[in-house]
Amino acid sequence: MNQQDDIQQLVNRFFEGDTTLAEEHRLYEYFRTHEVSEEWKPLRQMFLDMEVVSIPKTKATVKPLRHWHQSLMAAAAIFIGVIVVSIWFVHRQNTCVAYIYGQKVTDRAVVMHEVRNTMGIVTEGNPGVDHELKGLFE
Amino acid sequence: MDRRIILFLMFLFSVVGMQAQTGLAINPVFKGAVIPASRMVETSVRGRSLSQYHLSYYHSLRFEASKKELLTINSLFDQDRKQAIETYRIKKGSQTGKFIISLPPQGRTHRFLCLSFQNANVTLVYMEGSVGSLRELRKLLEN
Repeated sequence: MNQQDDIQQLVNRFFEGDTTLAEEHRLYEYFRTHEVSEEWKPLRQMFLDMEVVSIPKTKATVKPLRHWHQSLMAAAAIFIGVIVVSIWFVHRQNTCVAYIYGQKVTDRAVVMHEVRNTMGIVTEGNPGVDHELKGLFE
Repeated sequence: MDRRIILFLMFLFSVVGMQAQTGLAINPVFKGAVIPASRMVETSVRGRSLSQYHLSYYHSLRFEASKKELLTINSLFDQDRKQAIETYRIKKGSQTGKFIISLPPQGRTHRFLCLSFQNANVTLVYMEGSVGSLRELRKLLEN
């Protein structure tokens, strides 16, 4: 079967409404790229018009779907980002950790003991500390 | 669109990743750049545990320093002392000393830095919170 017979069959099936989308596109392409006989010239114009009409339809259905999909992805990414940052922020707001000569300690009692120890060093003193502070601020 | 999301997430992570004592000359000591972590005792407390002291963040280091290290730390501390709005100082000879400085507040957060040394034993403390003055801070720490 040569190509012209093949196309003739497709045209017949097209008018019977039996062609698939792929076959219809094959017809459009054939009439767009081939010279045809006088008998087929009205068909050629019809298929060229149908091809033009079919292009915006395809775009009109795909584009909003793509935009909707992108918006959903963006919203999901931002939502996950905000959740991760919030958890991290809340966790960071209540940290209690010590590194004793390189060893990590998270036992609150041990850490707070060390805090009181260093606070003691800060405030400790000789009797003069209290006196000097009083003199300084009063 | 994707680029905007990535930039937004990068911004979020950079904002929350900032350290409390960032911007201070003494910061390298807190980051372990002067004294290695294996030679010191470091505490970092934030939140509820400090509420009785009216502090929101407490970061301390305790270590033994060589003369050279002590000079470096003193030099860095002196740079921060230049911007202090209040200073408390005790010095007994060249071997023992204590400095507490109040740094310019960041919004409603007041910041304090303390350096104490007795021979080679050094204690460095950074504190921040709603405490308004050294006097108030001293009272809270002593109670």
